[in-house]
Amino acid sequence: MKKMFLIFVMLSTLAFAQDGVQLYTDFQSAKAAAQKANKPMMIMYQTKGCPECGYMKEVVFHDDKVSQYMNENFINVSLDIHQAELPKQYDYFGIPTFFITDKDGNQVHRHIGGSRSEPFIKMLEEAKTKIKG
Amino acid sequence: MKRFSIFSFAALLALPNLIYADSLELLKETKECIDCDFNGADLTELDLQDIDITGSDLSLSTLSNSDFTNSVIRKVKFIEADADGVILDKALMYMTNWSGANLEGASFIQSDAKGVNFENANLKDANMSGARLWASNFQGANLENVNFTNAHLGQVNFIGADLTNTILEGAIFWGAKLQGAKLFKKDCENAKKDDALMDETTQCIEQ
Repeated sequence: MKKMFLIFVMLSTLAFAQDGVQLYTDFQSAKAAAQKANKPMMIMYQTKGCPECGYMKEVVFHDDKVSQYMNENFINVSLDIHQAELPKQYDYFGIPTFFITDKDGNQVHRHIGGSRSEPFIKMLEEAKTKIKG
Repeated sequence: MKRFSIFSFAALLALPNLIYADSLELLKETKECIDCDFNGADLTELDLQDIDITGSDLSLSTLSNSDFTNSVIRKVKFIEADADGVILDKALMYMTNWSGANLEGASFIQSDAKGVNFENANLKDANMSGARLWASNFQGANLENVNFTNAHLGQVNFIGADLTNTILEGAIFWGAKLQGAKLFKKDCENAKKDDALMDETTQCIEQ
């Protein structure tokens, strides 16, 4: 029963799209999923009304190459800086900011600003190589 | 970090020639002045790299060839400033106001320039390559020979702008307002792919 409840909570914080990157909206749920799947995390800090964030979520994250790569290789989480409970360990100056962490949330790379699909995948690939184990 | 004294800076501006070397040292040492009033100041050819002057007013100031590389100049007013040749590479400069400013030959390479107002500014020969100019306003600006290579031009206001003398290779146009704007056909095609806002008033001309 407890396990079922945990699965329900995790699914309820996962923003499913028909296509596109699957995004958690709660850090703790994402971290639990990352540990379970033994995958690194991509944490995006964003907010509504930020056009660059909108471009990333509506265009880049719906690019098939990007979504396939991110869904296969990362647990992805999108946190609204004005609404979500933000983990304390990540510093940011502006949005969007992307933190790449290991499965336990230890930051290995920070990327500020949006980009087109290809450079974004390249950034993720390079960041992933920094993760030990 | 020590907070920069407004009094010290005022003194510095009053005696620019006498204590130029000292003032430069002071600037280098303190690096910070938040919400300060530099209206009309002469800051020509100063090395202002890595400073933080968030919220300050530099309207009508002279900044010719000054170097603000890596500086934080969020929400700073530069209204009608004379800033030809100013260097703003990698500066954090969102929500700055450069309306009516002279920015001829200025460099904004990879700057974070979201929501910036360049209305009626002179940007002739400016280098904005790789700059993140989301939702910035270029209405009435002189864009002759501006380099926008790989710039983020999402949701910018280019209404009525002549972009035929600009370099737009690799620029992101998502949601850019291009009504009444004039572009070369290849740039129009890229803009269409990016879902820029175009209508029958947008002119797509052969190169």
